[in-house]
Amino acid sequence: MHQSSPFANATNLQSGAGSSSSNAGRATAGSGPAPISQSPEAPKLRVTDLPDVDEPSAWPAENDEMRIDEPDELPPAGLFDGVQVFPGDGLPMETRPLIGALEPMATLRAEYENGSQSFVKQIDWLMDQGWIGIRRTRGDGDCFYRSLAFAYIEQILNATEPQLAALKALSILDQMPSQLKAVGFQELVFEDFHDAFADLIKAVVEPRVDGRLLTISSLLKAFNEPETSNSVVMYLRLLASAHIKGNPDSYAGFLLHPETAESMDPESFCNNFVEAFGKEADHVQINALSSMLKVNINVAYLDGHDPNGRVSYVKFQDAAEDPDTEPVNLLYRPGHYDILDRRSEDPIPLLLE
Amino acid sequence: MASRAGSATALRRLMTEYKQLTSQGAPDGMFTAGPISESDFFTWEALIVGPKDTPFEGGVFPAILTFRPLPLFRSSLLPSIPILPHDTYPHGGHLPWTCTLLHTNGSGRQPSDYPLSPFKMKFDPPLFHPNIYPDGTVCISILHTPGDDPLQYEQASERWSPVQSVEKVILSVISMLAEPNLESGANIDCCKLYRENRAEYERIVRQSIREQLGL
Repeated sequence: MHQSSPFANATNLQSGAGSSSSNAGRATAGSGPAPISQSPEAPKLRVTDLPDVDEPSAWPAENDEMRIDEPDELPPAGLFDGVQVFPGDGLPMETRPLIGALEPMATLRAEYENGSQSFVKQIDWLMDQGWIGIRRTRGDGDCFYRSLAFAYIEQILNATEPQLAALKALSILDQMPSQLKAVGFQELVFEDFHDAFADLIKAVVEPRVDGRLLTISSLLKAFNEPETSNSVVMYLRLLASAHIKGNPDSYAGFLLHPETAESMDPESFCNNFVEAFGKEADHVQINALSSMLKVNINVAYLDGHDPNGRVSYVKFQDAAEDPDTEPVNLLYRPGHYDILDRRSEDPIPLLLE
Repeated sequence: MASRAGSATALRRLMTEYKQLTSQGAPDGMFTAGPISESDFFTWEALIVGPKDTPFEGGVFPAILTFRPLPLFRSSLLPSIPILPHDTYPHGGHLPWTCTLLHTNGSGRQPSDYPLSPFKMKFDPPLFHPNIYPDGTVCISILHTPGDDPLQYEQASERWSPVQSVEKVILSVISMLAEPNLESGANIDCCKLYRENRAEYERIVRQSIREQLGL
């Protein structure tokens, strides 16, 4: 799905160097019920009766998968819906970690060396710009949301004053429940997802259950536990949906069905392409999240289209009141988002922790 | 499908929904719903009152709601998760080992993907209705995620996402009882009869309700 970018005016898009073509993705979801008031009558079982959730089980399993060097066989095309296989990536996305360790951009370059030279040129250009690292995500339709959430929290951890950055983020998050309710979401549909995201950020300031503050290593671990990781993805989906539903005029004309390009109303667009798990994100959703989280997002488009090997950036700059805020930098290859980094590997303690 | 949600997320969410349904009741008392037993929060029963001014008026229809993928987790080898007061669990209030077992079975599947994935709903005994399969399984767009199109739903039809809930689905099913969707029929014979001989369709439905009530 290609759209040229008529979206720029309404949503603060700014094209960077090179061409300004952009690719579309998809996302999904549901309708907002009216909030229901609480009755004092107690049911037999209460939510607080539930045990806390903190299963450490997922990470070792993911690790095992990471060690696989070659797939037994590649799946026939189309076997896994929404799973992208990139040249040389070697593994079908489904067996990849949800979010991987930082790796040198040179490894991505090597994967394209026997393929498209226009991609190689663009990768070289990115490396010249200082983007020497990439953190890959699983291509499961949630890669944009997962990348953004990870990079957003990682940026807090890497801030000059992480505690200050965390408190700033938490104060923004505190406003979310009322915005979600305002567009009709029941508290029960978002409270667990909200907590999953907020608890990670809180852990920058206050020790977690294990008595330790959040580190890049524990963040990576959390993002590879499906329970936490997918709750965070779902929360970002609800935030994007809330912004679209709450600002229908800003989005009028841009809510297009990703396949038919038919215009859609906010309710059914969000139901189908924002709130539903596993539906890819496009400009609309990126813009909505940039606005909700007040974070600038730069997306570098690695599309092999520029004859001079330059890479276009699309910048979502909705953290207007603080233009100096370092943006989150993502790498887009048609159908997939990863995280760009100026380092080529994680700090060594990460792997030993 | 790879693992996505976890049973703990599903359990927490289902507890919250149950709590709301119990404390507030359904609108106009149109249905009740809750877990069949406290030892299995992932199987619910709903009792749905036949909507007024439809052939279903006067009936009460039981349906089973299943919140875990079938048939994988039907296996009696898998222990169910006991719902006990918080402090009766060992290990500082965490789910007991059975939960880990459920989490890490060979295929990497989860016992419940709810609410990322929808639940299944089956009338037992089956209802004679254009959008209900002869085995009682309800076929309605709100119980399918976007792109999951067994019956080529219209694009505008409402889909499953985690913002839906048991309550919203059952309310949709109730309005489906009143107004069948012939564009995506699940019981072809019933669709045909509904289209060609509505009076006979209504007679069969009323007859089955009388039989159910033992009249």
